[in-house]
Amino acid sequence: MVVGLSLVTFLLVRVAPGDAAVNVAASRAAGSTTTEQIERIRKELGLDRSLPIQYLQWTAKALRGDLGRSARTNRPVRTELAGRLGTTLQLAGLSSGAALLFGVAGGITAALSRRRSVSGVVRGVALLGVSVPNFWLSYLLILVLAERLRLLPTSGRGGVRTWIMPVVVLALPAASTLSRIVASALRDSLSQAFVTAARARGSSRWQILRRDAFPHASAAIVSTAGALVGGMFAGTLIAEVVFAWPGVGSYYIAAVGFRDIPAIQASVAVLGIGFVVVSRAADLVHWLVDPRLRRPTNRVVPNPGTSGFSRSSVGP
Amino acid sequence: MSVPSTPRLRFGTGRVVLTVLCLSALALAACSSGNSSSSTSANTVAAPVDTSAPSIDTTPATVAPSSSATESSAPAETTALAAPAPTSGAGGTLRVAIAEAPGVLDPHVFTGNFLLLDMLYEPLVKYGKGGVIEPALAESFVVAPDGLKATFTLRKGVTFHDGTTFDAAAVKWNFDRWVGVKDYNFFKTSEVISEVKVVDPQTVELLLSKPYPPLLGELAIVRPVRFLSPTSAGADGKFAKAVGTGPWKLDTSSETGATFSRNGSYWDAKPTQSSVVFSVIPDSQTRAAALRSGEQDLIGGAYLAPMTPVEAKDLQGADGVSVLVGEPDTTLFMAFNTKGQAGEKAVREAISHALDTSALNNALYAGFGKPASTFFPPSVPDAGTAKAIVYDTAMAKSILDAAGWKQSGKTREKAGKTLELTLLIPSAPVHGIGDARTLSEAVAASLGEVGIKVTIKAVDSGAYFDERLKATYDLAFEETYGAPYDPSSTSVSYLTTTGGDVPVWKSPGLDTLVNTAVFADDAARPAAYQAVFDYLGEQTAFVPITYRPRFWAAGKGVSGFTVPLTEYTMDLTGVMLTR
Repeated sequence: MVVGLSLVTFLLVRVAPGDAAVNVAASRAAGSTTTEQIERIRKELGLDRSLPIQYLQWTAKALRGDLGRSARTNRPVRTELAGRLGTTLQLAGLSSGAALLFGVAGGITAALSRRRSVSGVVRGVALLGVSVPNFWLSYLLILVLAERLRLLPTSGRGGVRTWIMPVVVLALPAASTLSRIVASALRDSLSQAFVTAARARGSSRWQILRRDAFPHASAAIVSTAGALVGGMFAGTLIAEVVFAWPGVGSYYIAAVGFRDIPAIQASVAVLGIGFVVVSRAADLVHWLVDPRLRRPTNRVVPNPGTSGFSRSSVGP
Repeated sequence: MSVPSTPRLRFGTGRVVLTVLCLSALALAACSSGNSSSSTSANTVAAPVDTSAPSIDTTPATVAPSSSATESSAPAETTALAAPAPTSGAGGTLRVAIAEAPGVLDPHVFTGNFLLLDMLYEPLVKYGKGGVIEPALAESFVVAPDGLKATFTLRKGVTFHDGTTFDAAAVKWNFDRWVGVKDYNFFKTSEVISEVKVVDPQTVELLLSKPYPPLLGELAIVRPVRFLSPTSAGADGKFAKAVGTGPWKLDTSSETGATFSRNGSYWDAKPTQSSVVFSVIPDSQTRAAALRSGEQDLIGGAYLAPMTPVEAKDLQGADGVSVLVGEPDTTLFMAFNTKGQAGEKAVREAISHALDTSALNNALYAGFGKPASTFFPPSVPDAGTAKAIVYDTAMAKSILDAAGWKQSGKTREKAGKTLELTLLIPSAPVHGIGDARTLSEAVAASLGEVGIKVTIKAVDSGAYFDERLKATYDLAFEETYGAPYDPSSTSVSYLTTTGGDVPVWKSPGLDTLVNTAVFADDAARPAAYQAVFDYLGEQTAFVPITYRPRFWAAGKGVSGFTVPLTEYTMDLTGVMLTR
């Protein structure tokens, strides 16, 4: 998987138009460049060799932990990324936590609330959260919370106050999507016959939710949550740039602007690995919460009293 | 981020789907962001300009909001903030936002931020107002009449930040790091110096292989000609610590910024503030917000922390913020590919009369820009003069008619061929051209008025220079390099067949004129450059559009800051803060 990822990244970067050597030459000279300088830099960067050789060289080095030197800063990419990885992991992690918490809570509220106004508010916020582009939301938050009200710093990474806006920007769309999935999956579960049966047995609302409805709905919720948390890594690209966070995302954006190939490759690999790890973890969680996947045979045994696994209403 | 619609992921296909989604998301980010953060900002802020652009050719007078012209006229004159009496406002910390990480602050490599290097390291001679070369670490300098020797008398009592004495040996140690080294052949000084001679501790002689008049100008640039303390390199001779002779000392430098402190033993006027903190804020709108909210004191500069004209306009209205507009040092102009239809002089001439540059300026630069008429802005030495090009669509039409391009429907035809030109632009703002999208639409509309069909070809900014090299265009925008490199650098690169960059105009005749001008002595140079400009004007080799305004903005309580003479240098020594 990671091999495939690195190969596709490698090819995308090479196939994309633009010449890294020209950029490096231009940055040195602050203006004029000559063909001879460009050729020399091409050689320096190893761009004069054939693509398969370049790829194999890169992979062989990467496996040994050598990600090359940044064409932009001339420092080892590994050192530069190492310093930034923690920032991105913290940001993505905290935003994921917030998204899961508010998404699940919001979904449950919307599904269970008997008052239309409550579920209406949750749905309204969720719709807004899904539709608002996150760079726009970022500027809006900066304008209102930092500039007008002076409650938070506009940007930078430091104390708790600097975390609020980036986390909100990353978590809101994910929480919104998740709450919609949770609500619809729960509503579906709650309309199942086994819920009616549980109700008949005299179980309380919370008992039904915990024992019957939630496990039934978990499949859809876990897989969506997995995808959303994985998607956080992509979301950090914009948030880190707008809020001036020194993470892998802003590193990647700076590298793309410069066509800094070693840096682009390494940061995509890191973000991609993050995505793969998260989706693996989601699969595992799914396996843990869904007893059907743990049965020794892969036979699907219908629950007594269940009319079947209607999933028609599950999914975004 | 849209959310994958796979309700359940099973091992195998699910992961493939996710990977594809992840990659496409990353690739999308790569494409759309093109050139880093500024694209997002330009997208949103350029919108109001965009809507007004198409109306330019029809009602030029109404394009620029009348308020903008009047409002901006006064601030546009401001290039400096007067300092109060130096009894208050000293000894504090100045906070400056920068767009990119400081990089390696070694004056002899190419990754460090120019302006930060300029604060730490000093040259023998410096670039003064109007391009006059002034003494810096060299107290005086003489170039021999035959042009083969330059003698520098060094300033006495100058020490590096680490206490090492700045003397002739230090000069030689530094020069030896780049003189004759291939990596530095982008500037000729590195090639023409044949020997660096230490005459005595206060005197250095540079022996040249041939006379080279731009020598002193090139010794005033930022890198690699400035001086690092010889004791700050490791045993292997490699750069170890950023130690110079400048007014500021480096305390810390990282991916997120840098801190500088006052050099208490500086030989010239010592800084008023005790420290400067630079913070990396990649997004231009966030930088503007940080200035407005009082978190930062200074932003601006095309290289340091660029802002768009719309952002500058917006900052003018902000409480306590002063927007400073520096004397332009670059010209944005339209260049032609003479291999196609633009090779016909009548076509170029018609284009030059069909573009209303003052309306373009008002619309695109929010009233800040000045319509250009010369190849170099007046602040560049030997910028010379040029005949003003009048905006006259009737004249443009009659020139085309006379040349045989007859109107047929909306376009013009000659011998069965349609007059159709391709305008090549980068799809995202790039350094040196800025955001060409709105400009290109306005130009296309104006040329459409006189019957020239323009197809805008927007390519990825990374590919833009490749496309220029391949000459797959008829029209393109180009910008001169600016101080301290001009007029020689732009002239050699753009106007000679041997120049490094994509040539703007080339002919053996022009080669001779440019070489004469570049190597002319002080007395002959103005006339020699004027001959170059006359040649370009005669051919309508380019259409000047604007002298690009240089924006800076200072926050509440900041005074004593002057827009630097070049985009690569910055003087913060006299800045006062009252908070």
